[in-house]
Amino acid sequence: MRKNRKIPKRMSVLTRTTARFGAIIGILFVMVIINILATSSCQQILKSIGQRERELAKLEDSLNREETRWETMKTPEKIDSALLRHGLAMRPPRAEQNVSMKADGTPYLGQHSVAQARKRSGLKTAKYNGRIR
Amino acid sequence: MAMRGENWRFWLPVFLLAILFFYSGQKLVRSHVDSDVTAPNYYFDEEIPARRGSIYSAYGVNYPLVKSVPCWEYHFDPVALTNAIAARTVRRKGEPVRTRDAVLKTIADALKAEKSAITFERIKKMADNVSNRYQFLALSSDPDMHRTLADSSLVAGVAIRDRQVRQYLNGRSLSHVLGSLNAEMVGSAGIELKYNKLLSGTSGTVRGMRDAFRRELYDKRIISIDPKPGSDIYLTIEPNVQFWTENALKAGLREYGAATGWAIVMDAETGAIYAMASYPDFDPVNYGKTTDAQKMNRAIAFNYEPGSVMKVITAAAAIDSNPKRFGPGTRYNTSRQDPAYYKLPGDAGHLWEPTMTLKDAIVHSSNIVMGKVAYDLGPFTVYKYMQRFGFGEKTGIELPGEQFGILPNPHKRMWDKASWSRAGIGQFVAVTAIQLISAYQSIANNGMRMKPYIVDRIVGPDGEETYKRNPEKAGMTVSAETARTLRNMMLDVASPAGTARRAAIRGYSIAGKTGTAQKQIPGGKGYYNGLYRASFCGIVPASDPKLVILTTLDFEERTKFHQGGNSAGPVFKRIALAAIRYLGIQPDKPEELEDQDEDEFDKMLEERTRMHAGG
Repeated sequence: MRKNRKIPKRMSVLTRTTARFGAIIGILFVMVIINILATSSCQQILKSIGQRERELAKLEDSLNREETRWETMKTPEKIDSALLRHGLAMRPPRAEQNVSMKADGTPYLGQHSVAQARKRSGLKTAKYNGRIR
Repeated sequence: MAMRGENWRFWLPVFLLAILFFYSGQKLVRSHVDSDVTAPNYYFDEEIPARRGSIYSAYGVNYPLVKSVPCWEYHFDPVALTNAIAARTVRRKGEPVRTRDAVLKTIADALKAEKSAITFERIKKMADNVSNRYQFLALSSDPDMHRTLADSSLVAGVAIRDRQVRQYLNGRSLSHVLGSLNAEMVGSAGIELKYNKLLSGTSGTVRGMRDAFRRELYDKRIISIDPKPGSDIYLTIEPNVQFWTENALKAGLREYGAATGWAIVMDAETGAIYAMASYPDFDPVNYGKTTDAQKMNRAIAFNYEPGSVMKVITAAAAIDSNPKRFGPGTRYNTSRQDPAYYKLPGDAGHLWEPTMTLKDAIVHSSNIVMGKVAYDLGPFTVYKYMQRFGFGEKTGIELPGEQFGILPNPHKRMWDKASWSRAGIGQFVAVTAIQLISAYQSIANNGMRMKPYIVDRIVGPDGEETYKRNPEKAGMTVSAETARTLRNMMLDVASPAGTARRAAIRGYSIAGKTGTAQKQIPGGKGYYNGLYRASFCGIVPASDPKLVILTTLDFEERTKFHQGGNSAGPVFKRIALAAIRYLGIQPDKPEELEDQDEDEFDKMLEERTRMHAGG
């Protein structure tokens, strides 16, 4: 005797097709939404990068302008006219006030002559009164 | 089983539908977000100009001489102003609407920051001229001014355009060396012209799309090539030495009444140029309005008969070619009426001893003796040594417009008797100042002539050094022994006995030579009576040369200062005093300084300060 097996009830073709189609449409819809969100987010990021690039360029420009303004103020001509304007007789150090040595510690030629002159004049120590004797 | 075979009938349309849906859905949404994005007129191509490289002095990156600076160009549109006033849009929150006069007053006040000539009355007139909708207001890099003029709640009718301007930080200083740019930002003189390609860099490009508000859609960029900035050029110019050179030259021109003048300061060992000045100069920003006389860099582009400064070259040729016959003590007859020689220009105002040594001929600048020496040497020896000293050819300095000088070749065209004896005293040949100083540099450098140079290095936009100039030898002019002898012979020129006592500097030995050259009438019609070109070329200090300085003043009127020692000598001294101080050159005669608390440079500075305070 054959076993009384339960035969599964088959879905109609229409139902099955609609369900599959609906599932696919749903998946596609979700994908489209994800795509749109991702694109929009990318655009936001790009926009913000663009803004920051513009801000950076503006800051660089303003730094350049400010640096140039300072550099213009310290040209020899500007410094000289400022000194004259304020009646200041400032002067750069004289050669003998600069100590220039070679890497091995020996003085340059001119330093020898200054030292020799100092020796001749009997002064063994440097006395600062505007110049080294 | 039949169903399984028919599966493709289901999946194929589903697949096609899915593609269609996905594509159209995305399109639909995107087209809503970026309306009109596909319209072809939203494509754009934009050239991004490269930043032009800077030019720096020897002090490096902190002391630029020329820079490109971003700035704003302002134009005025009276129609836009009228529309904005009519629409009542120019107002600050909580404040009443601004009137036309109030807006114009704000614009005029903002322009005052740039010392603009546009006053309130002037801008009112501009506002009435509605036919011109693009009236230039200013070109400025002042951020405060920009803040005001860009504020739409304060002003209206001002169009702003981003620009790059070339800023010459020292104004007219060094104008001939640095040069200038034309309106298309192309170099038209000096270093700007010579290195235009390197300084310009390469422009970048952006190709992409914009939205309806002309904003770029960054994700729609098709091409994006960044601009490559230009290289930076570092010169050998010492800004302080340059300043004092120009200052001394200008003062000299004013004091002695010379029309033009030029000066060069060169390193005695390497040939590096520390300072170069030429007057008249020009404003690099207004190069278009510059005359030809102003444009000429007389330090390299002017051929002239040098006069007595060439006597040193003649003496060098004599001593080097035949040391047995010629030496500092070699005596010559000072008679002008010597039948053995060609008749030379006399030594006006001098009553010499019957004979004179070669050294004294240099110290007192005797035309007769030096002409005789040149005559004895003959044209080929004189020519050979002049060639060795670099006359008749370009020195190769990195500046446009350098001249060759004029040195006729006796092998091609016979020199007459007058020619080579006159060449010996600085006539018949023409030189440029850079050739002359280069010749003296070889005497300072024990006979080795170095190629003069002004560009020290070039640094690319990535900070990498692309070029480094090392001192280059141009060749031996005379032996080291001859060079030393010549320096010793020249020592007394800047002494009470010599022609340039006003060039002497306490504490330093100076080997130099004056020149008082008669000016030629154009077309070879002889010389002007009483018009001279005064020069002095000196080596400091003579015992251990560090600097060579040449100064020349060109007179267009008769003056008592026409002699080299009276005008060019003092200018040389002022330049040398400053150069010695700023370059830290040690005195070689320190005993002369012993009892002095101040040296002459200090006194010069104090005198200037006092004069300025008094005047």
